[in-house]
Amino acid sequence: MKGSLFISFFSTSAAIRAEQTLLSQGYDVVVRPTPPAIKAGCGISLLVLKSDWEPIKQILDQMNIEILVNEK
Amino acid sequence: MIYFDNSATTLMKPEGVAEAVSFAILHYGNAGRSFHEAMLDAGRAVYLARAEVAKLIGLDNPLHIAFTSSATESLNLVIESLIRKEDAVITTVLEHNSVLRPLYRTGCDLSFINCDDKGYLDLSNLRDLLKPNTKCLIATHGSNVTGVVTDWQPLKAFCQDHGLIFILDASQTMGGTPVSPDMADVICFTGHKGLFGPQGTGGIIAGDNLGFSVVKTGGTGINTFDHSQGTVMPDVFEAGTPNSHGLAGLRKGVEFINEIGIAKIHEKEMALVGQFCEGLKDLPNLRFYGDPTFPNNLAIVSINIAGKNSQEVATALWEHYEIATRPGGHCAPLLHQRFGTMEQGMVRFSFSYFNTEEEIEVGIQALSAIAQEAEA
Repeated sequence: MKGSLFISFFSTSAAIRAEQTLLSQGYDVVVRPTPPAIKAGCGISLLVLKSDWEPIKQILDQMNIEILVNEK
Repeated sequence: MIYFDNSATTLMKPEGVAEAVSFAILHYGNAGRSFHEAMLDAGRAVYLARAEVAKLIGLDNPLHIAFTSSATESLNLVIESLIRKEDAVITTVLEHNSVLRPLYRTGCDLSFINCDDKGYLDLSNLRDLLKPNTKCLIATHGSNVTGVVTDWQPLKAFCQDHGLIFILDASQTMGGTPVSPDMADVICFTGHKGLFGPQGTGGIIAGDNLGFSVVKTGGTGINTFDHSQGTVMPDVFEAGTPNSHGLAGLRKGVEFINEIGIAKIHEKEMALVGQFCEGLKDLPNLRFYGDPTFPNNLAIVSINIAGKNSQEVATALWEHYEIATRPGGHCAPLLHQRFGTMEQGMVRFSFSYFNTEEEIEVGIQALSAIAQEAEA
């Protein structure tokens, strides 16, 4: 995915919940291992389009999911 | 076989439950432990099961459901997590040993709410049971012996008034009667009874603000290098490989309930109870326990025939009619003490949405014959 962001999580349950919610709302989401430099605890991250970031952030905020965001 | 032991395990499952488990065994990896498709499918199956249970009970955040292997494990975890020896706890004489034994093990100071002759909780002296160190009130939402459903509202109000944590054991009620997260601070449930899932599935419904301590710990797939695991739901109760195979089946069972609707399921089950009780009401030596035909209660009818031991009656039902019931004490010692049936036990008939009127009729005929023989 060009122009992507890594969204990383503090629990796998939260990561899968975020993935399922974003997919159900039509966003492009790819699951990738969390890069070692990101200290989020959970081994999987979501790769999303940078251009989708604002609405995705709102969705995750509403779900009260704690995240770390990094440029790919 | 005619299966009337659905309060133990529902044997007849909706279409798709067994297939989902079979598919999962052949295709799923270990949820939460990597990022390949087999792992993700397992993780998604666990999440989708959470989402389906959340939909059933009207819960906004599916992550407020932690999955366990059973209601017994749920209750053990919650009790051990929250209760210490120096605490006092109020519970009831209706409880199953899955509540009583974990409580006894903590060494806490226990007080019991008694019940009336029909098995309804008697709350007249509830305030007298309160002590300065009372921390929790734990009650069953539905008795596994009488099928009486607990009026949770006064218990919740009492807990709110006195700052107690209210824990509800919904082992018998989830799927068969409405359960909502608003009912209590913590709700424990099992998957293999009213939810039509496989054995080995259960859960805990709770928010993040109760101060749970970690009592079961191990691999979680997160924070590998930390010495302790997180204390937020659901991770606080979910160390080890989740049962994604069983939860795939549970999702299908709950999906069925969400499609049919709890009201319709309960209505059909209670119609079977009505037919059964009506057919037996004129037998002079048959005693009903509880209040089986009250519409809000569960599809459980417990009986005895004169002084006949419940094991003998259940054996006759099985050997002569292939009717499966549950005799004995039903792991509910205090309720049997209350009814004076520690020796005799009771014969419990528990019906499901998948039982039929024809099966009920055979049950009536069988019990009538056994009762008449006992009379002779």
